[in-house]
Amino acid sequence: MKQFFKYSILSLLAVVIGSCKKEVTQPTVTNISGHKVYSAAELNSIATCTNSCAKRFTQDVYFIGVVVADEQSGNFYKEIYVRDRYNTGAMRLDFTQRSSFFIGDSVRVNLKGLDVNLNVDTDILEIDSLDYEKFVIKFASGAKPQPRVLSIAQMNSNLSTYLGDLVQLTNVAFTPTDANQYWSDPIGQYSLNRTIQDCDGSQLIVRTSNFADFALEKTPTGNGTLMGIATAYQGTSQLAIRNTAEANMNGTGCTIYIKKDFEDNSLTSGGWTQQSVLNGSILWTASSFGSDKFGKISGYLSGNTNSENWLISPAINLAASANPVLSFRTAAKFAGDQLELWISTNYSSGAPSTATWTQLTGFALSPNNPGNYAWTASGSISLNAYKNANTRFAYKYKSTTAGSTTYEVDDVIVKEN
Amino acid sequence: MVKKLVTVVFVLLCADFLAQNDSTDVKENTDSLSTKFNIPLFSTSGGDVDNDLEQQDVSSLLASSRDVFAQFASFQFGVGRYRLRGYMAENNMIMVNGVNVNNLETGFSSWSSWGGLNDVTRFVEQRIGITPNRLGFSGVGGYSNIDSKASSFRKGTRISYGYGNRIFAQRLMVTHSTGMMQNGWAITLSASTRYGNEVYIPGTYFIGSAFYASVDKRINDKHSLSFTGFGAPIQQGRAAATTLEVYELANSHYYNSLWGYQNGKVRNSQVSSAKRPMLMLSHLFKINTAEQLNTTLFYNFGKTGFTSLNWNDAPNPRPDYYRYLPSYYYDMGDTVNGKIWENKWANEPNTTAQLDWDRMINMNRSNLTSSGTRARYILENRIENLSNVGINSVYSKRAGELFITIGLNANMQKTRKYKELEDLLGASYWLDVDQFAENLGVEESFAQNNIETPNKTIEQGEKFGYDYSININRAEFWGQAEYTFSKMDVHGSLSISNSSIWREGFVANGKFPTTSKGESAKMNFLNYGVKGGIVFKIDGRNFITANGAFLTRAPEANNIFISPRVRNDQVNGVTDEKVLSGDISYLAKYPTFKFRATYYNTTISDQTWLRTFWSDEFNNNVNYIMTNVDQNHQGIEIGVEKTLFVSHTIQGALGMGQFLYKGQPTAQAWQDNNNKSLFAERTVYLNNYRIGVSPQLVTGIGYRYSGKKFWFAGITFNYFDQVYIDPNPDRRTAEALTKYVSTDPQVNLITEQEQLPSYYTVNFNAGKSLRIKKKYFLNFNLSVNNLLNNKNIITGGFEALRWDNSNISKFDNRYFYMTGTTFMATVNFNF
Repeated sequence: MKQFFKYSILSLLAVVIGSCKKEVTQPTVTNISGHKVYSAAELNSIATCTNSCAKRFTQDVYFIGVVVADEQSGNFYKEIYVRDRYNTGAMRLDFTQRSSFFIGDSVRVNLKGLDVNLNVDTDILEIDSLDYEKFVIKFASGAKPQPRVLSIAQMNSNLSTYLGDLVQLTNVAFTPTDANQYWSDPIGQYSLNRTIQDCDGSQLIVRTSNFADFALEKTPTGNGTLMGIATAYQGTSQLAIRNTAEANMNGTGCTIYIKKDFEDNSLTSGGWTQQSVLNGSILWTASSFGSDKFGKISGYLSGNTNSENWLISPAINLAASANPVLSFRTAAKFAGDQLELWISTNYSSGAPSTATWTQLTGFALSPNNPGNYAWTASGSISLNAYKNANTRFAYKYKSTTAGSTTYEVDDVIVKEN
Repeated sequence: MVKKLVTVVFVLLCADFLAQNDSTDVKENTDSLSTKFNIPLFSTSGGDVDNDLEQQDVSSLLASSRDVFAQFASFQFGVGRYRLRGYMAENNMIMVNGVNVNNLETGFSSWSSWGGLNDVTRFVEQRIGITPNRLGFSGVGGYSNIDSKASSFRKGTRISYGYGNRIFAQRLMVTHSTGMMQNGWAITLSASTRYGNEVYIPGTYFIGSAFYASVDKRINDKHSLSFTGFGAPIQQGRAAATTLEVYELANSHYYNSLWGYQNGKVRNSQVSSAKRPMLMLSHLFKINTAEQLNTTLFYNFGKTGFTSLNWNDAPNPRPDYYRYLPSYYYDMGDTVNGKIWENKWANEPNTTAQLDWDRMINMNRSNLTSSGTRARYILENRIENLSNVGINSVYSKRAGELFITIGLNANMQKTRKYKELEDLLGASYWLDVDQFAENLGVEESFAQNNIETPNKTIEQGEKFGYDYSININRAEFWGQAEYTFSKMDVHGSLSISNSSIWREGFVANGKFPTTSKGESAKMNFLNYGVKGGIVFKIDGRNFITANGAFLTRAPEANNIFISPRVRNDQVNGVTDEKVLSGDISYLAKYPTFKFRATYYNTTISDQTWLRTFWSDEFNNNVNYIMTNVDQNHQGIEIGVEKTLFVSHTIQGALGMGQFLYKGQPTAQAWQDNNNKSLFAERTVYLNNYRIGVSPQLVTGIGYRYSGKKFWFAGITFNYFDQVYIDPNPDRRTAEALTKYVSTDPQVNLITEQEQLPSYYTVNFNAGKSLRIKKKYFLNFNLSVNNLLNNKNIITGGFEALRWDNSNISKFDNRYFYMTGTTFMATVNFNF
């Protein structure tokens, strides 16, 4: 027994040996805490700096963010988009070869030896021709970057902050001509632009590469949300989607029959006409104030005049419509006759008197006495009684020597309510 | 007291009081890596297993004459790649009839040299650790001497047949000994044949034969002469380790990437062969009853070969090349190609999971040029032709309690290494140029492997590629004194040796026209060794021993050259290796109880390490060299045996070690086809990484019953733990991590060492002896390994030397699986 005890002790010693684990000596690795990590906003100001400033980094400084678009679907190729970890914006990383970064990967770019620029076409903050194996490290994965939820107007009004970032546009549908169409053209090998619009009638181009693996799928016909990367082409905003699963557009509603926003600076585009009934010098014109464009008419011509002039919409096919409504907005100044709204189902051309017109009332107009060009939304005007294949409406403007109001009309929309 | 002891041991083990360590160890892996990951999976074990079996049927599992721990290490832990004290081969001296047979260049001795000669190699004297040795100056690992002379064998004939499912399926051995005859002659002849085809691993095979002849002549009382010659030619189709992904794709842990169908027949691309006989002539001079002089002349010569695919301007033919695996595509997010490859592995195994010989041949046949069909694929044979001639002389004298031994030995070893074209695979020639240089379109002479025969077209059987020899001349003088006192024994030994090492090139390579052909400078290494020890005899049953040794030795010859295949230039900073070692043991020897516990601590420093791997990037070999590689091996060995009621015996063994790299070696790397180094001085942070050659914790317990009618049965349970994958040095450098910051997960992924899961095995053996008509003996033996048929045991693996610091899983670790249940049954007939 004594012996057994002795040997047990020896065995115990052996166990003790095993328990002393020796630590390996690791080479020194950069500690990031001593290094500047730039935000997208900071890089943006460096990129846009014009006064002979250095755009190339010479130190180990970093940009850190989460991948919001990868190369999986083929709509992006040799490039990824990364949202900055400070949430100040996003950056495009243009690679010399296909990468294997995925959405949700947390990446760090060592900027030493690189320069940042704004892309000449898109204005997106970017690093061009990057060898990702050298400069970009994926240090985590699985993040779920959420889109910035916006309307088209919101995106447009602040485009520079969204460029390159993941956005989700709400309440949008492809225009009737672009719905149920191929996303892109891999056969002819062209990237294609498709247009979406929202219920305000704001439109946006969705551009898709012919290399996207969904190029031969068809655009949805309904209304809903569409997610993608906010981009631009020479100042005009665009959207590039990551995959079709993020086109959640199965809803109904928001069918737009016509829209006239005068942004093309044309009075007659889209088939609009004007018919002067009295005094051919007083005409509707396309006009603007600041960046805002609209249609305008005034009976004041070296003094108040007598006039009557109809601005007539193109024929609208409402035969199959369900609950069509008309809306627009007006601005007015100076006392005079109020603008009138008339509707017809049998007008074709020429003098308004050649057709039967019914006056529409019960909508808001901009106050005109004295008025100060306060834009006023009309509210929805039901066209339920006019579901005809040849429905037209017209703005009837009248002035007299007693008073000539100046009217501005904009954002005329006929849509499903 | 106990507490104190514990503390002392703890301090001993945890403190780096010998701040050194070792690392040349990974030799076998090396070879594998150097040949594009062709792993000699069962290469040496082929011989080992064979040998083990035979050992078992002569001296049984629990033979008390041998050290219990050593027995476990040989017969039980071997399957787990256990190495005594974590030592590589150069630390263990293997001798045949007192002649050191460790290869001077590699330090390695292959048991396959006498595989199949079990009848005549069964008398092995083995001692482990620092120990007196009357045959030669052995190092820190100890020595084994196979005593194999005609006069050692009893008169008789023995026929033995073995059947099993390990390396070979069948073995037949015949041995006849005359014994010492009246006329002073003794003759022993032995021959055997072994054969196996796809015995366990698909695509493998084994063909071996062995011949042995020994003639002793006792001239008179003083003089006797002895001749012994043996050879064991073998040819073996190999298996290779691969990644876990591939094992899974192939749905087998015994998947072997090295074979494929050619014309519907299985063909292995990696065949190793050896024909390397040894001849020895000894003269024993018994000067008087106290003195004798034993002198042996020996000659060891012959070729080993190793076939491998080579290719030019064609896709990599290896089925487990990383670009043929789904993960390569999935990693990139390319699910289309990922699926395609997954389907190919599942549905087209013959052309995807295995080599497609027919396709290679078709591609060769279609590659028409003005001078015939130029091979895109060939099978090459890497030959090493050895010639080692030497003399070994040992004088010994007993003077009372003093025993003195003095020895002198000298060797001239030359190993010529070249490639031979084994098979053109349907093409009419192979062009002997550096493919990478050729593809670059550089100056023509630059691309030549041999500028004297520019653009030589190589036909079947011709030499090509490289052709050089490594030459070593070594002479050693040593002496030993042992003295026996009443309460203690002491021993001490000294050795002094000189090695001269040089390379000789036989072709002038276009990249190194002036440094590739002819002899290199000779490097001389003057080495010495000293060791000593003491045995305290507490009483007749209890002993304490303590030993120490310090020695220097020449570095491994092949590692001295930065690109040994092509040029004479030597690695800067090569020095002698230093070995410092000590051990202390307690032994108890009672009739029914035996016990040994040993603590050892060994530091091996200043080693030079060279590994060659194929780089797709450079389309050439890259030589990765480290100097100042240090290792420390320490641990405890315990062996215990208890006999209960005569016929029941229980044995136990515990080996608990810590085999570590120490310090920070310096690395450099060179391509075979460029005179600029890839890098010159890189610090490798290897300190405290585990050496990956052996499990560092093993333990086993065995029980044996011996029946009265000459039969026995034994069962053994073994446990293996602390198994590590040897670190790829380049992953442990600052350069490997430059683009990362400390918080990145990659830092650990790159630097962390993989520890494999622990595992256990159960082995069984039994035997029965019969005596017929009082004249004949019949023995039956059965040994069964891995009785539980566990097929999920990973015994080892390695990190690829080629790696990608952006994607560590691209070149995944490769692993070896232990075979499931295997058995070997033998029957011996003696008359």
